[in-house]
Amino acid sequence: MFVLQILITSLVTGTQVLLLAAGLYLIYTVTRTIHIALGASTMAGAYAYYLAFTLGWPWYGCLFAGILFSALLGAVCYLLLRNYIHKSQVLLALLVSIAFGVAIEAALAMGFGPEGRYLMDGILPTFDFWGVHITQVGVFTLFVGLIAGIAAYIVLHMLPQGRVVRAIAQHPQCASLLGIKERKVQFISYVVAGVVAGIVGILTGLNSAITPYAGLQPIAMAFMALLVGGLTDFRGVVVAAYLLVLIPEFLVSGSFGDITFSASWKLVFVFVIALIILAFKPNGVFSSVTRKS
Amino acid sequence: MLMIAGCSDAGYEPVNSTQETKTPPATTQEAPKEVMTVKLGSILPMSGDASAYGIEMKRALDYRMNEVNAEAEKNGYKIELIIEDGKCDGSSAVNAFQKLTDVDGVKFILGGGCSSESLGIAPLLADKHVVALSAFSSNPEIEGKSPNLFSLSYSDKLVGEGLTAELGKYKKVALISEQNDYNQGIKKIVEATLKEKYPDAQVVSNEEFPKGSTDFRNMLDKVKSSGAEVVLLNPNVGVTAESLLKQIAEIKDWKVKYVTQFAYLNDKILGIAPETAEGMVIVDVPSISDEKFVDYKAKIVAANGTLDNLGSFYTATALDSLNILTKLYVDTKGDADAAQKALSTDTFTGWSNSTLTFGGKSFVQGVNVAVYIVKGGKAELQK
Repeated sequence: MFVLQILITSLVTGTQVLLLAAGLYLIYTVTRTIHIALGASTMAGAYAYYLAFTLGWPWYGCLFAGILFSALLGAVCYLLLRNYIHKSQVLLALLVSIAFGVAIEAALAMGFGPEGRYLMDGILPTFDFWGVHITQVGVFTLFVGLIAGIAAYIVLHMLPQGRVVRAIAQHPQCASLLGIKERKVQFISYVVAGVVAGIVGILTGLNSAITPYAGLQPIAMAFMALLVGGLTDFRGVVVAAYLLVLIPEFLVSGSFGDITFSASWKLVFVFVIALIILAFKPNGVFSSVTRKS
Repeated sequence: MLMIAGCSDAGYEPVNSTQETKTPPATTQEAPKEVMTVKLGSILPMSGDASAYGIEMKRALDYRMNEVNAEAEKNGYKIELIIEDGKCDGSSAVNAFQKLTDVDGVKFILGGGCSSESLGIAPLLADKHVVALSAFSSNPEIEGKSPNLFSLSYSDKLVGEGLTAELGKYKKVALISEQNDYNQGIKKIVEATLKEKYPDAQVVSNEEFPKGSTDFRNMLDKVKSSGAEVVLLNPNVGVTAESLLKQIAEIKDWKVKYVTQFAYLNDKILGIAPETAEGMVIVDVPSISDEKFVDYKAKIVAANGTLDNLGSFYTATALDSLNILTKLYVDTKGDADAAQKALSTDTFTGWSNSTLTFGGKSFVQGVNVAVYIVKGGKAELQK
């Protein structure tokens, strides 16, 4: 039962990381940039929800406010980065994204204070079965992850919009020649990633608490999942996100004779596991060795 | 000599040392033409995890400062209390200290607030001839760290030994501690005292979590699976403590005894999960029940806002630290070295204790801890 409990709780965290990694993946696929500010956007969306909550809005109004604000931040970030994207100045784009993320965090800290906030009052209701428990928010997180995964697969592989995204990912110039509006697709990608980030922030806030700087660890893990997954291989990103959460959680939760690891070791294990995987599979978990020309 | 502290009509008991009143010149009744500004510094956690303490302490100090200055201005003085943010960490406290001493020329500092802040500035005090009096730093490492650093708080050693006395009643003990100076100090004392005095008590789980964490679910399941009979909850005050209690409450089939420190001496937090907190043992100093103090504290709350996190004891030490420092400044004419000697040897009176003496030590002597038990979402003093 203990193993099952750790597995269930870790799947919730893994889904949150996966959703963020999916946003990073989408943006990288169409722009070849790493949008680190997405981490700060998760908390910005959560704080917008919190503000609406304190103003007494109904839950759907708070949800709308949170998601809308994150989407707007995504749009603003694209406008800040578009010149670097189009000139393929990847490093500058990364630096600007980091700076934007820091600015968002500082603004949240100044506006709301650095101490944690809750998005709902009282104890979270839980489902209890087979000797394990999971919060209702945790169930909803898993559900959102499942729906998002199915939707992403359908869009990318069955709908024209997905073909457009894959075309830009494969060859942006050829895609432009075929009449695909590259900039419009990139803008939409940033907005969609912002929406996903807002949802992740709100789910995180409902499940525990929010602070202005709480987006840093999830985005670091999402970035590692993207790297380990293989940057442009969505299957790899999915597997990597769960591997990088589940393995450290089990290592920290278990005991090996007299040896136990505290929660502080989690991030250490994340990076060690990522390094090990990348040492053997530098192009991603599902990459294969190809002959170089 | 200037009388600044000791306005009994403002609700404060005068400190227990000789006070002289400045006698105006015989030929004139006019007030002094110039008002001299006397600067005192303060290093408090105004942001970060312990900001609740810093903000509430500032409320108490601001209220008292109005009274002190109302009296001081009649005698041609005005006291300016310059508060810098120590952020509850050593390096920020050092930056704050350097700003206070190098830019503002301060020699008397009220602080650090957190133990991290006091430990951070301790090595700098003697060389710069600055004296510091903290209202709530409690890490035992402060003892002897600097001859110029004093604390009106009790040492965590007292609390740690009190917690251990409660934990030692059980055979299987689990410890959950946050990774910051205060909580790690408590943890080390508990571990050492358990080993020394309660060898039959076995620590079956010893978990730590990073400072400011908010998700403890897997860690709590790990502690639950260890089979512990009693759990020491050792988080910092505020959202961390609240989140920990909320997530414990989610585990419906976990019946275990909880022992904790002042982070849970807060009816608002206990009221969030009263069933889970029922029977929780909290070890801390007794709250101050003196009627005059209770009334005075109520006035501060009415004027400036809640002091729930600071509590009655630390509100008292905050006021005492300001009164003692201002009195010493006046008595020594701003000589920090003389003030250091006075703090080491003299006896003072304050809200927190009728007899405040350091006796050559860093911590005020004679403070004892008490035990509270939570009943119906409220902590009730037992002894």
